[in-house]
Amino acid sequence: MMIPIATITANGSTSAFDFQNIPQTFTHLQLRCFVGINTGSVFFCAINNVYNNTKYPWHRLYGDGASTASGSSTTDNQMLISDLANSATTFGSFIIDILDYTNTNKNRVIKSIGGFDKNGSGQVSTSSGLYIDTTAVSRITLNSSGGNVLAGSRVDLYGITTSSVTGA
Amino acid sequence: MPITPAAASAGSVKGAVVPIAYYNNAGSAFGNYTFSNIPQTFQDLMVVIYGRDASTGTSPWMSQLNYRFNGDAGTNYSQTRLYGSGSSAVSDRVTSQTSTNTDPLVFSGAGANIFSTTVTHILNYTNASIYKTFISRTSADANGTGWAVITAGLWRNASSGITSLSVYGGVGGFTAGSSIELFGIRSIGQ
Repeated sequence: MMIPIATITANGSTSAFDFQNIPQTFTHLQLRCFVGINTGSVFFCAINNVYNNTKYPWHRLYGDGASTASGSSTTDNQMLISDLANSATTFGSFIIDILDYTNTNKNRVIKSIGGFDKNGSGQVSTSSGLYIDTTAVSRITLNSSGGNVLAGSRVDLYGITTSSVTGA
Repeated sequence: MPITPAAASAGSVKGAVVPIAYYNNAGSAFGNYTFSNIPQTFQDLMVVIYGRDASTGTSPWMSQLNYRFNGDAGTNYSQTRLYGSGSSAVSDRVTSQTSTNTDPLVFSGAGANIFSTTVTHILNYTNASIYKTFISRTSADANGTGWAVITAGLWRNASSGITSLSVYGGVGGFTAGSSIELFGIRSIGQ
């Protein structure tokens, strides 16, 4: 069962969506992101307020409507999710999953799918990242490298459980 | 014939994923289908399609699945797509279309009992001031041909939320056994 935990809506002065004190009562987490920005920007994910360039290797596959590409890094201090739309009228949509987020015997895998289309340009991508740390996830921060995102952008955090626990 | 979905009561279903409507024409083949009067009480929509084009088609057996929102038949749809066919990876685009040209739907000539599945997410669908973006993921394998597809699409309407969704089944409509499900994803307080 998927349970809503929290929502953050941007007001025009928001460059990061910071979810703190995440309940440890679910099995998996999902973030559903609807984000716009009117400048070139990349969307990143950091875990537990840790910004460490040895902890976030990632890979991705993406297409821009003309060609396919694949990228990777082992030196970023947070995980790359996707480019953002760089548009005043078109927002990107992204779904990010973190499975087994409380398990202290596993490093964390972060996967995402999403993109945007601007009727002549755009990008669609799928990314996977490894957070090299077995600490349970209690905080997730999604950052925009280009600064403040557009008002109306929002991220919803959900917990997924197989038990009968209820959320917020 | 459009089917009006029953309003989902927030108190009657637990969890964030709420079924709004389901259609399979009682197991028979059907053509285009429209969900009307979609409740505006959720945060996102999710469409789940298990389908097969009733036309025989030709190899590589890839028909197409189209959406249209609020009955809009103007050139207000576009998408960017990424897919792999087993032999190559491709990214392509269409612009200013009269419906989405979103995902492959497998032709019936691909073989008996072979269907494709598509899950489409439409986030923030009630927002009447922003263009609507959707993300689709489709899987289709015909034992020798096939596709893994992800699509980012746009409906350039910034004056209303999505109140109806029409689904068009490729060339010949949907075969018997096809199904279309519409879910609402609710957020805090919904």
